[in-house]
Amino acid sequence: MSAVGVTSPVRGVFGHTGGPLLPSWREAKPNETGRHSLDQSEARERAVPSGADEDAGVIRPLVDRAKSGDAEAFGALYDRFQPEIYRYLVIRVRDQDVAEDLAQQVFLKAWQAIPRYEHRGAPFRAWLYRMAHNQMVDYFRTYRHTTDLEDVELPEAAEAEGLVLAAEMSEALHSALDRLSEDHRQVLVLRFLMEKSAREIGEIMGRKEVTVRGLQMRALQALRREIESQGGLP
Amino acid sequence: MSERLSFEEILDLCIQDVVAGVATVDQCLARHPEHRARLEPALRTAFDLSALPRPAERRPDPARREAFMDLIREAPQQEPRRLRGGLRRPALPRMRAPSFRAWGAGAFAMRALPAGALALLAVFLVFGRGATPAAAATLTVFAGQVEQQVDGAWQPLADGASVHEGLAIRTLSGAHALLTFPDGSTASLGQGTQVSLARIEVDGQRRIEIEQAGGRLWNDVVPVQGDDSYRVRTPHATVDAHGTVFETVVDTDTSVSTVDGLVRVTSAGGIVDVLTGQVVRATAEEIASPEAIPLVGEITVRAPMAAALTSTDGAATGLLPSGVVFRQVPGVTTTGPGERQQHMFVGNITPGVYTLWLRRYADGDGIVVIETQADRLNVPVPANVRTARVLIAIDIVDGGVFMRALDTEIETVPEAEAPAVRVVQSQRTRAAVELAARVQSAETATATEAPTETRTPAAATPAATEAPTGTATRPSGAATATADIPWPLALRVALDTAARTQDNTVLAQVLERVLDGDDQQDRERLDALAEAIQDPADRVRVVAVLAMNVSPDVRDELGAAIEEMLGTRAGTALRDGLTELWLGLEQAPAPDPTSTATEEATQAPVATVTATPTAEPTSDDRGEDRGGDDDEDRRRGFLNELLERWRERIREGNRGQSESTDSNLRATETDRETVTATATPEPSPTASPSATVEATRTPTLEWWRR
Repeated sequence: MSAVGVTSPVRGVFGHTGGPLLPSWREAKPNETGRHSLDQSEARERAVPSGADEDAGVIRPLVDRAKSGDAEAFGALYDRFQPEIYRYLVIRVRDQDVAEDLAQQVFLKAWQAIPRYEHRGAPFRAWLYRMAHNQMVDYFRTYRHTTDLEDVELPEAAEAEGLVLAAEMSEALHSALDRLSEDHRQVLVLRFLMEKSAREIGEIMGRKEVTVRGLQMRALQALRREIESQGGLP
Repeated sequence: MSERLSFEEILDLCIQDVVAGVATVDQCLARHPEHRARLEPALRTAFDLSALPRPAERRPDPARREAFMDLIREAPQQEPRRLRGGLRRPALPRMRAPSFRAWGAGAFAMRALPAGALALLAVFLVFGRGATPAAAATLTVFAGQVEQQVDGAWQPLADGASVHEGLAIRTLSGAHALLTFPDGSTASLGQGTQVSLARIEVDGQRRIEIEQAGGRLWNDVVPVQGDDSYRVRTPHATVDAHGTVFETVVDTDTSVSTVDGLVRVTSAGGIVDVLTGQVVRATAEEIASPEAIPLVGEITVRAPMAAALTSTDGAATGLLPSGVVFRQVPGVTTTGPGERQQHMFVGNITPGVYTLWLRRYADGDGIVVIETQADRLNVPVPANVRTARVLIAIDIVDGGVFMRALDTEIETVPEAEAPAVRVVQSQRTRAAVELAARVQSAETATATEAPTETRTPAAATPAATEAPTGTATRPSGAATATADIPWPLALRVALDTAARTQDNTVLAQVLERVLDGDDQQDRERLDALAEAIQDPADRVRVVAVLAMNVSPDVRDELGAAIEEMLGTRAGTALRDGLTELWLGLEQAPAPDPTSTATEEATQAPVATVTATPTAEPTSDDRGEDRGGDDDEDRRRGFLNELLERWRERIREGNRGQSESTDSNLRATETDRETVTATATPEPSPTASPSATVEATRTPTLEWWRR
């Protein structure tokens, strides 16, 4: 991403001079003169691919085509994002079949709603996450009673490469997570299990990055309290 | 924002490192020993979490994908979202009619001013260096370098400097500066702007003339009166404003955008009046027809909070709880104090991140509505929040400017963290502060006199109504010092000071309060109003504000008041003013600023009003059906209605059906001039506003035909 996103602040009143596509503000923190400097936040967000870069280059044309009813373009979006959304849903509902169904519903809804998607809002990926989250919340609202801890499958633990964490400990952590508020749980899952940055979590949750950091801190503290109230991790 | 990282940021960075394997928990703790106690448990928990097994991503099963593709080929898509009509309309919307009833005790900033607000204001005001002579503007440098021309050479000019008549200044690349004139008008200079102050006269007639050689100049002009003038000359045109917010951009041509009010552009190509929400472009040879300025967003504060939008360089547009209004951010304007709702309109604004600051001025909760091209966000403001902020981003996407809120909820902030707004002291700020202080002290007196008075609508005076709001925070000495001030004085003082602030909005709020019925002191109210409009220079403005800028309830009261006063000097003044206004609209759908009367009459409402005569004052959402271009029709409609009603009454009066129906008004059967000066009416809590309507004189029909 080049650093020329913003042209001169002096613009004609008949409109704007155009110029290169501005990235999302999250890529560009304002400096003291009020203009964007696109490289400032890169150090902090080093491990994270820029959602706006991706959006502008690859995703955006696909989204635009899908918006106008191109199912094949949406198929490409499906290929690109379904695995990630599915993974998020597996983590949240801890049932692969349910997650698969939910993911399918998410993408069906996304297809139906994509004409209303606006590029200037959340990045497409975050938009999908929000849909997935809503779908999951709906699911829990309806089926919560059937997903008590006994039903939780943990097949992934065995598959995970080289992880030594005992299923017991994993269970204790999940159990503690379950007792947190939804906001706290979501921020921790996105951060630690989906490896999202505070910025990306902000996009998904519709919060400001700084708010997410505060939320993350409180969520960790709450989780700690929950773990300790159960006598600590095994 | 401090340079030091917050604990949350440190934690976040450590988490990043620990999760990525770049550092261990212990290494992070060693880096931040001062935070060790808090950091350690959080980091250990984070470490445990990051070690949780997680499912791998996997590609969807091909059969499942095929089924899905079949599904969506059949599934219909939703209709694309349409931009809301209100934001598509060409003109920037104008102010809504305010109503004091909506907030009850906290109706407007000045009345419910907490005692602390005045002290607070001092912090916000920036004084010019040394004694600034009257004929100089004060320079505020927000960013970058500003230079003045001395003997042909450019020399740096410091923040706070006085810029005298005749001086040329320029902003360098990346700079942003503000000139504040002694009357309180401001001109904000974007980067690469060069102006010279050709004329600054403020004693007696006010004449301000700026020659703009290039760049972007955002002008917030205190409303002018009579022959006052505020003029910007460019190489291509002369721009005259009479109390308005407008922008001039000088490049190879001059574009003039009016954001509030009316601006006249004169060039070799002709004369064009640029109305609110329009932009016109002039070259040395020709002048184009006005076009619409796109509106990027609107912020509506439906809470007893004063809002200000600040840019990262410290420039701000908005209000302080004291009622001081400032418009320093190019492209953003705000309605003034006294509106039931504060509206901020965002137009041609520089991209970046802005902060919307909210500062409490009265008790109560509410919401802030942030409306953009895409959506409408309602942000709740709980009653216990004193100072809060919401981040707003302005982006350019595909050449268009877009606004969006970065938060869906307000962030409560300690009061001390709210940034000072750099407002230079001027006649305008002094008037606002004085008004606030005097209204407050008069009200303190009222509250002291009648501490047991309740908020019963029929019995409570406005002053008493708000007493509970301020009592807790008022300085203890104030009450005794002003205990003998009678109730109407607050209004008189307020009217008097409002007239001097020359701000229609302030005037509207005070007048609304004068006319706000349901109390026992009709006589005093009318008396105060009568005094306010004795000055012919103020009369038309007062009437225009009365007619256009107040709620329907109050307009009813206005009708009653004018009829009540027919035959008195005040009544005559009101009548004449309204007639002038009426004739102005009748004759000139496009206002003709060459005639003083017409100009005043038409300009005032254009500058400040979206009259909604049919809207219920209780409707909380008048913004929804902003008609846009039919303001003119609405104004006419209202006036027609009003005049028709009066004619009807007068005809009735002529037929001799004019007995007073209310004992409280008996006195009007004698000479009003005497009565209004001396009578103290009996308390009559049940007297409805309509009871005051019956005319006891027999005025002729000629006054409105003239």
